[in-house]
Amino acid sequence: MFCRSCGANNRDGVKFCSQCGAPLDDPQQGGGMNMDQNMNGGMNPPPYGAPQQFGFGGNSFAGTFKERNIALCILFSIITFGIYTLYWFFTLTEDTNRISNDPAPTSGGMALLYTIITCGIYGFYWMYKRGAIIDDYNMRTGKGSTSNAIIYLLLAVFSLGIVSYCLCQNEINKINSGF
Amino acid sequence: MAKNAEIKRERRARFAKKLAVCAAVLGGYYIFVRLTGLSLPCFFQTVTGLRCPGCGITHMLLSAAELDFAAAFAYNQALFILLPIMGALAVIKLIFAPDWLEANSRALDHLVLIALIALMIFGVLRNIPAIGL
Repeated sequence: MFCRSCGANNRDGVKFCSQCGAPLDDPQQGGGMNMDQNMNGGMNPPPYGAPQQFGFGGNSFAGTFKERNIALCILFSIITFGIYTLYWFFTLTEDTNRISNDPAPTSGGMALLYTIITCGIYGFYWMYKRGAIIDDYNMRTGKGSTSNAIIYLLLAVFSLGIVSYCLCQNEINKINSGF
Repeated sequence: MAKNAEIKRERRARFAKKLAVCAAVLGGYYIFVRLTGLSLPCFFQTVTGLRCPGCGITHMLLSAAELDFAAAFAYNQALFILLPIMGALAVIKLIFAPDWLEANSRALDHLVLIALIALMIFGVLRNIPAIGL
């Protein structure tokens, strides 16, 4: 659950925020990802499978990410000979960390550092972890079991990591639009 | 107070687990290299022919394990300096679990940024033959 004071993500059941120490036992804090934003006068979200009826979407992350056009990201990566891809690596890390349950996820900068000092080997673990975070989010929000983790890893192993970036960005864009 | 101690204990436990994994991977890799003589190729070097900031780290670790620090320094100057610093910070974090070493702290973000910029510059410099890195 997120801390109301500092916004850090904490494991369920932890009493105090691991970042700022503020108490997390406020009942308003409960519910995690499925909490309705109350944009519709207290209406509950429809059951899984029913079409979304309100415009803003049914998750608490909707609209809080920077939506990135995947085609533009690829274009920028090409014209900057991959420099933009490093920035994209950073933003994908920060974005997925926000939906992750890990109270102290590895930050974008640290992940980039680890990838460089291991000549890219950490990058394989990182790619798998992005998929795992998304799979975990899908499980928590009732979208069922998905296999993004192994898919991203396989693509990366076959030198198609850039496809994994696109898939991951797509997931983030979906969550941002209320999915 | 009590809750501070609880926080620190949780941080230390989490970090100790991560460190244990790193140590296991590093140790396993070292044993693997000594036994088979194989090591990880650098993807960046294979594709572009240039040396990335991480190239030479395996040779560096092997030389350091044999206490040949001059050779270790020659294989990768930037990491020869950076890795012990990171090791020292890891030990500090394990023992004291201070706030400024916690994930996503501003101090840590700045340190990481400096390290990244230094590595990028090193990556460029080491590919210029005249400089002799």
